[in-house]
Amino acid sequence: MPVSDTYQGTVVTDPYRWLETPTAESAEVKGFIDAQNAYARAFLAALPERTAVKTRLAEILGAATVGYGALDEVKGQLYALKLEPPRRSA
Amino acid sequence: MIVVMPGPDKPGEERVVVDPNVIDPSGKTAIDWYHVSPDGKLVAVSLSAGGSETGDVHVFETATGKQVFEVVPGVNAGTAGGDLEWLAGSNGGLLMGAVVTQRPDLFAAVSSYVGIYDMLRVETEPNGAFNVPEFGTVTDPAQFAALYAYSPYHHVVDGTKYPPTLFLVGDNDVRVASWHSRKMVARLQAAAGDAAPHLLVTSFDAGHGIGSSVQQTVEQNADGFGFLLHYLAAP
Repeated sequence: MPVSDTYQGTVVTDPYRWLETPTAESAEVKGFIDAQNAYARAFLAALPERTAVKTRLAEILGAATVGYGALDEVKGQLYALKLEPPRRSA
Repeated sequence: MIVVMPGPDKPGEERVVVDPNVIDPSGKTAIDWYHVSPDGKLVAVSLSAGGSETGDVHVFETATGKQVFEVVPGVNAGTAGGDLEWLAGSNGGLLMGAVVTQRPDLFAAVSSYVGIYDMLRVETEPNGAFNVPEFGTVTDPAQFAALYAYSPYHHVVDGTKYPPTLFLVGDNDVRVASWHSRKMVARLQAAAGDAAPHLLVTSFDAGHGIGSSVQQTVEQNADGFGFLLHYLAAP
């Protein structure tokens, strides 16, 4: 189902316009994403390099180092976003 | 100069490993960048002269500051022969798409997060109007010509050998619509110039990256870097 548009006199064919539909509004798009995820996950899961990177990243990002960011001061009171691994979100 | 010390609170124990002022007393040789080996025993340093960004890479022992191995001359940001790898995101994904469609031969593999690829349709997405001042609009003849000239999605050519490519998106992305990566991966898969995989990973509980949890960041970067390392290790 390609779509053609004319921009400034130039005809441009768009073969995958249907993929622009938001996931929630299209079973076809959801199906496309699910199939791509399955294909990609199977490929990536088989990579030994991925396992090694994940282990090292989990060590680095999961390090129990407390971080304070987005510092602010209002009327003598200090505010900060505190990151406290292994808790998941800032 | 490159120095080492046991900790930020111990500047008194600082020790110089590499000093370009000693290597070239004229002061015209500078350090472009340095990188430490994972075991901490070696430091690779790019040294360039006279403001050139084409450096010679020297390797020094951290412990002694002694130069080891042969110098690799003439290294810059570019490369040739398809051994370059690229991890890009967002507007960097757009740059990646433009370069890979123009010079697919340069790359061993590409990982691209939340990128923009269809420059004729980008202004139609919810956040698109805000991008018009930066990118331009198809309603202006000159700007349309410029956008169409580099729009990555429109420059995928059937039968071309593209490098292995991994696209990563969050379905909740409100800055760059996730459909850019869907359309780009579908187009690359259809072009089918070789057996290189073109993959798309969509996370249903993520967006443009801001606000991702530590666990999501680990998984996503394990995908992105793991994919690149695979082709670096076994080209």
